[in-house]
Amino acid sequence: MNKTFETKLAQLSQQTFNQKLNEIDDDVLLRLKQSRLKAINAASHATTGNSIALGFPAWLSPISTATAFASVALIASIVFLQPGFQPETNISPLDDIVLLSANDDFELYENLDFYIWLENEDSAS
Amino acid sequence: MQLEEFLEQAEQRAYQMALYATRNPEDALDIVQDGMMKLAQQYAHKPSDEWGPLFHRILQSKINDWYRRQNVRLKWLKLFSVSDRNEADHDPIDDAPEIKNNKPDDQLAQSRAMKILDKAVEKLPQRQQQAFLLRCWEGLSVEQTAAAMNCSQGSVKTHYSRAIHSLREQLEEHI
Repeated sequence: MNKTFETKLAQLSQQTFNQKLNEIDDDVLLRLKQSRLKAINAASHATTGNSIALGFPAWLSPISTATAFASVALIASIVFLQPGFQPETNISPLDDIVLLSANDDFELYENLDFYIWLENEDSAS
Repeated sequence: MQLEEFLEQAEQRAYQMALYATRNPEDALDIVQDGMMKLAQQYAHKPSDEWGPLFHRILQSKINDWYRRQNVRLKWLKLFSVSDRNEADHDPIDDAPEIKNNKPDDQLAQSRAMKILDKAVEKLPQRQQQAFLLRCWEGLSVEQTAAAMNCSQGSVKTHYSRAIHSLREQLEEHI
């Protein structure tokens, strides 16, 4: 009984689904074809080693990375290794933390001009 | 076999399968397009006999994603809906049982059975529908269906058996 029903159901299913395939309209068929061609195009890019996302050849990527590193190294060497170059300050990152975390009297900094003037007056006298 | 040839053979069946799941031609087209693109981009280099199982796996995964998104959307819609507009839009004729012709010729009976099957497959729960279509239409084995559905063979058997049971209830007197 079960087998008979399942066999009949399988036959009916094949007929039904195949009929549904024949009923797919032309617009859908066209769009399926377009999607297929787009996919094939993407596959051909993937197999020829092109980067699909950016449109650049895949071999260009390591070269461009190396060029970027070389440029940065060149600029750094021009700036830091020229004769007579000295960093303006000798403050290490640790000093920044010490300065930032210090519980100083901010009123002193607010009246800094006054204290500078006072010191100049003292040294002049 | 070339990839284009494979996709040409598979695309209409894939569309029909996605259409059964989504009942929306645009969504079905999107699912098939995404599936073909993913297969082409990631698996074109694989041997051609692996494309079938891979394509089914991708397609079913895309359909599952679509269901998840729909569920989230429906939850939000339910949350904000103030009136049951579907009641007004719903045509009770759709739910009316098919009138049985007392003297049907074979062709008419066949045509009716096909219509009922079509509607019944549409209404099957997602996993049952997947199992039924992959087994019955695509002719995949339990093992292949399990691979495509990303579940165990036991689950495939359960889903398929429930689908058959549900279809039997609606179709037994027609076939």
